[in-house]
Amino acid sequence: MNTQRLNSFTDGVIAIIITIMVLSLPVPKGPGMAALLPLTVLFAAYALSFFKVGIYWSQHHHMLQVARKVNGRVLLANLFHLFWLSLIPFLVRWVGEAGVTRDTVLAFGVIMLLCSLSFALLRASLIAADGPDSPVAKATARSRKGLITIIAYVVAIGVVFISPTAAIVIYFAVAALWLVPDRRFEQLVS
Amino acid sequence: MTPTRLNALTDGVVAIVLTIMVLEIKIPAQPTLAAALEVLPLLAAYLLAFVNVAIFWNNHHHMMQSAHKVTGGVLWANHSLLFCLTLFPLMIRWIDEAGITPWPVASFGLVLVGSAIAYQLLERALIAAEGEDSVMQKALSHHLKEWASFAGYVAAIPLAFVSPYISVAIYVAVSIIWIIPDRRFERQA
Repeated sequence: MNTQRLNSFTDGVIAIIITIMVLSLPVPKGPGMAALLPLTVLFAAYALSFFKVGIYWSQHHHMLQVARKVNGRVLLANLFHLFWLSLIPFLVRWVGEAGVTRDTVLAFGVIMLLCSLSFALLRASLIAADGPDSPVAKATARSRKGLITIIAYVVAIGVVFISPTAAIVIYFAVAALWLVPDRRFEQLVS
Repeated sequence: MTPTRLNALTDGVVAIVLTIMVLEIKIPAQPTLAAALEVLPLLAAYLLAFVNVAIFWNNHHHMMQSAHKVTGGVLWANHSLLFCLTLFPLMIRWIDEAGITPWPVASFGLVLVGSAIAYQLLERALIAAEGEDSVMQKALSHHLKEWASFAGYVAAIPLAFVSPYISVAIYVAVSIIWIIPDRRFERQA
């Protein structure tokens, strides 16, 4: 089976996830600059979440460009990945109401960890569907960024209990790590 | 890599952005004409935001007709554009609550500036992906309308503190020049 409908379904779900997050942003309580300042933190959380979802979509986009086959397991792995992504808007809403607290920062890390683990599962299921010589397997054979990301989130979850700020720094650092999307897929396509 | 999925994601996001803005509009408090008239300024603001998002989508649509290749850079520029576009519904909500006052109107201009910069980055990334002598590069060689709009948006931000209505007039004027979508790509095709 080809990847077409899996892709369009994923695009639809992610388009909704990435857009409804803005509904969690409250409007400033007044027309002045003073009303805007308390929202800076939540706005930063929104921007971080938006680009995290964007990064996952970009990676999905790149990986699925070289994927040739999908089966039931791939669909399930993809759905599992989308499930964790869909919890990100919920977290933004929580940060909006409760602020940046230890528990909200912790929950963000847990969701991020599960997003990256489920993405790794999706990759594994694509390789299982298309064989060890498939383009996905070749392109990701020496993938370290995925592993570094998972380790970084595990570390961040531990660090939250000492300093939530340090955990937030890790979240931003991981996002920066993915600024350059996986080039191996681009090389494989061209 | 082909732009099929980039287009699909963009269409999805822009469709939702355009549609959720209407949720920000409050229903008239009373079932009377007077109450309906009170909602009119906000309806106008909604129309303006709707038209501006639609303009970005139209130009994106035209430009992507000539795109054959996407790279990581293109995806990032596109995400940045989508990020700015998602802020329009927030601006409408703010104007709804605070009225046509300097800060919300200036912020509306800031969102427009951000969107325009992201759109420029997207153009550059696409040209880099397609290469020199591509249709993309040729079509995008003239930037007059873009610079004129950009100058308009930048001027509108400080002017909102003089009178927010001046800025609104500028936003309307810039929207009008884009009612005719980017012809550059139609000419190339």
